[in-house]
Amino acid sequence: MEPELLEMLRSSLTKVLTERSSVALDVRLAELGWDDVVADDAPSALQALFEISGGTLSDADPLSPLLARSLAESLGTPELAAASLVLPSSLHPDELTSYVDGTSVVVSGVLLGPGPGPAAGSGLLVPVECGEGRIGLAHLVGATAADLGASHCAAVLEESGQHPARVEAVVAATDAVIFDGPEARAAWGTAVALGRWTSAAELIGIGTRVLATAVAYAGERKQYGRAIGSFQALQHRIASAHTLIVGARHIVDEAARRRDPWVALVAKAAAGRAAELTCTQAQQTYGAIGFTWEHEFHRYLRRSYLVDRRLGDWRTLEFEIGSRIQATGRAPRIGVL
Amino acid sequence: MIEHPAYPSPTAYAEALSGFLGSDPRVAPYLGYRPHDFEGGAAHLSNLQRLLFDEGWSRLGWPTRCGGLDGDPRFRAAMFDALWAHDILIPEAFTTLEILVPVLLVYAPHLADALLPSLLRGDEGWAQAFSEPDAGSDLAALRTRMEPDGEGWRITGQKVWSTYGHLARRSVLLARSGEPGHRGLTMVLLDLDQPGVDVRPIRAEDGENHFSEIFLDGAYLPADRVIGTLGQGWAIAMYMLQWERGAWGWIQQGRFHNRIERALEHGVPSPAAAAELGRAYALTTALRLRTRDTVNRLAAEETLGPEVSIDKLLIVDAELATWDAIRHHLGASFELDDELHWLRGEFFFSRAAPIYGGSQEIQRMLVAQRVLGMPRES
Ligand SMILES: Cc1cc2nc3c(=O)[nH]c(=O)nc-3n(C[C@H](O)[C@H](O)[C@H](O)COP(=O)(O)OP(=O)(O)OC[C@H]3O[C@@H](n4cnc5c(N)ncnc54)[C@H](O)[C@@H]3O)c2cc1C
Repeated sequence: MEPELLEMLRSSLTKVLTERSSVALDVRLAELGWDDVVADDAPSALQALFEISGGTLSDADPLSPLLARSLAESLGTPELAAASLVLPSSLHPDELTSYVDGTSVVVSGVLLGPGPGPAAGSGLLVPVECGEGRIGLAHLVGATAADLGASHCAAVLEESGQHPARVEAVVAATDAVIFDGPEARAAWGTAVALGRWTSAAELIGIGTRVLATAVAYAGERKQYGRAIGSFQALQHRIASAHTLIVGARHIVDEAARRRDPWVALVAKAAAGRAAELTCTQAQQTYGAIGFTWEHEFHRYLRRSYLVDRRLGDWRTLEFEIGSRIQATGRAPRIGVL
Repeated sequence: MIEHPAYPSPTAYAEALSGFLGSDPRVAPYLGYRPHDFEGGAAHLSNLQRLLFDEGWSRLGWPTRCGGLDGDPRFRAAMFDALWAHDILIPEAFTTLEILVPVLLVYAPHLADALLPSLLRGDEGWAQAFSEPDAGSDLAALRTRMEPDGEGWRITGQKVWSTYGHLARRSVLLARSGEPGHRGLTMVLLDLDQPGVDVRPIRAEDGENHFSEIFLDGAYLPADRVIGTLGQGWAIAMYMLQWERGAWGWIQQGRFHNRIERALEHGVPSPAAAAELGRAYALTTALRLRTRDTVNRLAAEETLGPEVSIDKLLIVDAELATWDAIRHHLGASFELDDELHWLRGEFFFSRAAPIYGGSQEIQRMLVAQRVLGMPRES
């Protein structure tokens, strides 16, 4: 995408993602001509959408519909596209927390939200373990989040712009359409990769925003008669954070263009670590003012924790990457000249 | 970007080169080669350098006027990737070429035309002598003087930490021709095999003679050995940096990928080491993609600015993390296993990553002030 076009897109997206509206994000994006933009250059468009979502603490949820659409496409089942996705809540992203047990579907997971939910009647879509490690997808056709007693999570997450809801329920298997062939596993794999790299972009958006705000503050705040940003100790903290963000962003760029599960995995690990360490350095730069409820900082901190957890936090993913390298003896080179 | 007629892309070239490396019997002595000392390694690998030159492989990516076969710098990067993929050590001389040749091509075309072909072929080696005992991070404080003598110059002073110095025939050197500070500096190409030059190797932490100190007592420099113009030395050194960071970073990421795989051929993988390994790999991937970008920008003839300090900082992060993970993985065999002398040596060399080529502190300061615009100390 041309730089000017991308800039225009970014400013329209910023508007859409921050405006108060009762209209679903999908609908508002459609008014922007989003489908054409995505058809033209999906990597740049999605990367911008998620970076801005994180950088503005937007409370819209672009991820669930994106993944539902991806699953619908992979499975050639268009009606899945409008379903609400219940993400696994486990620490380990490849271990699903929901499962099919004989005649019931035991649902345990997280609904992202909160915005106006998808069209009523589209049901819930749940990745499930179908026994013997088989991965499947259960479409709870008639169910709504409310039916299943979805409850919003603890106050620690409020103010982050995200309001994930926990779902714990048992549904009769007869009320579900279950996809459990190899194509379901492949579809879920594709969705996880998509979810990881877009979440990595969101983490980059958070880190970039936090860093820029800290740099600006360090230039204004004076102690000992000079700007605190002139102290080398703070410069080093900020520069080390910037280095991590830039490095991680290069991997996210590659993941966006390659759509490869391995690259997405590495991108999410790098971006999660970069965002967390950036928050640590920014917190120190602010001193006490950054420790107040009123200051925006903690909202970004909370958001970074939430997004990091989604589909695998960085510590878990680093372990996963290392384990696979140990198992194969190979450290694949990502990116050709 | 300059494409090469024989190869549609650097990747196509790398594939062809891989075919050669994997099948030509003359390459065999270099596959999995582990030097026992710095000098032996340099001698052995200079034969490889000659082979790659004579077969044309290492000439791609350099202009024809200096012995190259044209094509842009991506072809050189592709060669490094292919060499590492075959577990072939990159000759130290190739790194020197990456740093010095672009400078000569721009600032001393007459020297480039005359001297580079034998340098590219490895018939002689060069070094870089900037640092002095009292001028490390504060390079502009250097005191080695150059004074006019007839048509030429006489150089007097002391240089230190010059990589490859004791094996080099010539050295690019920064000397003071004028006022104090960076405006009084001039870059030159000095012959080291002459009276008035005494080069003594220094044994480094890894046990090897990586670098040297150079004592200069009225060493002679002909007039045509000045690179650029008098007083232009600092500006040229800055120009050099943009090449140094990207190329060295690219070479190093190839090493880290390779060494992670080689290390896993020894020892028993443990869950305790897995996360560290994962982090090292992610940081190495960041370095690879960052320096790929830098190489692409150089190939497109963009001028790079202070952001190349980020490349150096990413080298430090990846280099330390990779070797820490490898040492952890190897466990006690890191200390006890004789066969692993080469991994141990490279590990100890990695401890210099935050120091060589501009320390981590200096790079962080540059990123904070020049890239992010934070205030300078007043
Ligand atoms: C393996 C290796 C190879 C090398 N090869 C070459 C070569 O080929 N040619 C060459 O010319 N040189 C070479 N060098 C030298 C290298 O460029 C210097 O070591 C480097 O610039 C640092 O200088 P110094 O060692 O004198 O350390 P110093 O400058 O004395 O620094 C010591 C410590 O003080 C810190 N420090 C210094 N100034 C500041 C500041 N303003 N703010 C905060 N902290 C500061 C540094 O970060 C460092 O931690 C090599 C060095 C190594 C280790």
